[in-house]
Amino acid sequence: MASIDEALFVAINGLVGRSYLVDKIVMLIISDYLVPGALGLLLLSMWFIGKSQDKREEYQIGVFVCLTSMALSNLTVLVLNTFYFRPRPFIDHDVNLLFYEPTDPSFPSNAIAATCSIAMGILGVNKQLSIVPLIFVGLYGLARIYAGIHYPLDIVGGAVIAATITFLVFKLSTLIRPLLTTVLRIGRILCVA
Amino acid sequence: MFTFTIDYLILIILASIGVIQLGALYGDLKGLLFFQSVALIHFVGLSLPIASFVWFFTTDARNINDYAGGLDSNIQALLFFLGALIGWVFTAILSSIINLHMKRQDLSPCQGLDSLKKTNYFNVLIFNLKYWRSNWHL
Repeated sequence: MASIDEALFVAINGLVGRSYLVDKIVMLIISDYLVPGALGLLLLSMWFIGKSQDKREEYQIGVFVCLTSMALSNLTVLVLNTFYFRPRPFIDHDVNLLFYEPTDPSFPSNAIAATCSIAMGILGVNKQLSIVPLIFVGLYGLARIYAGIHYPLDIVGGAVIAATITFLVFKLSTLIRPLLTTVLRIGRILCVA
Repeated sequence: MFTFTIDYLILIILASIGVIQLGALYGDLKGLLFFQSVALIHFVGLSLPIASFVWFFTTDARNINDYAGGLDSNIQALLFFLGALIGWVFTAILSSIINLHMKRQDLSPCQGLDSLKKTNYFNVLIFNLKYWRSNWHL
């Protein structure tokens, strides 16, 4: 499994340098600020959309679910990293690096776990609205392999953690829905929810 | 480090103002809108975030590790929240001034953002605070 993973990484990362434009686009996509920022802005706009109060409340609870899933996914990655440390590809391989050298473990991808949680959370609320974020996260993951900072399995691992955590948070959100509804009611006094 | 922080904050403030306009348009929250033209709101709502990202990525090197001047993920999250909050406050103030003519007396205290379909933010806020001060219950 590890050899297939590494072979796939070498094949994808080996494409670096063939097209100046693709390399530049990848360097933009893998930035710590583009995809996470865009997803955060999408969550912000989700807070306001919804033609009726009930629909808007559903979206706003979805925003809480996304943020909770993101935090729990990051926590899960942090806990996993204390048990298993996989070095970054540039430590063990001669890679074409398009990014700075991160110091945290390679598996699972923390960036993918966080962004994928948001995209999965949006998927749980509105399938149509989740298409763009899911494409963003897919490109983000692929770009991180291309740029030489993750193995494919790191990306898959991050996505699996995100999907599992988001599913569990959605299930649990029905239990804490009265609490979330109360928070939103308080927000309505200040006209922010 | 300081410039990077300020740049990121400006990016989020400007982009937030744009996406709030789009969200308000799709939520039919007329009291939050800066313009009456749907096309103009789409233009501003899309061009503000795109222009801010273009400005952010073209003015300096942004792929920097956090110990070398980039932003740590916790700081980034905090700055995002702060930027979105400033964007929201700016939108609430400006839209209330622009939509000063939208004054309704038939407001309900539990409607929250839904009230912005027929009036401006300040009008709702003042109404809600007066109401809840005299009838406090959730």
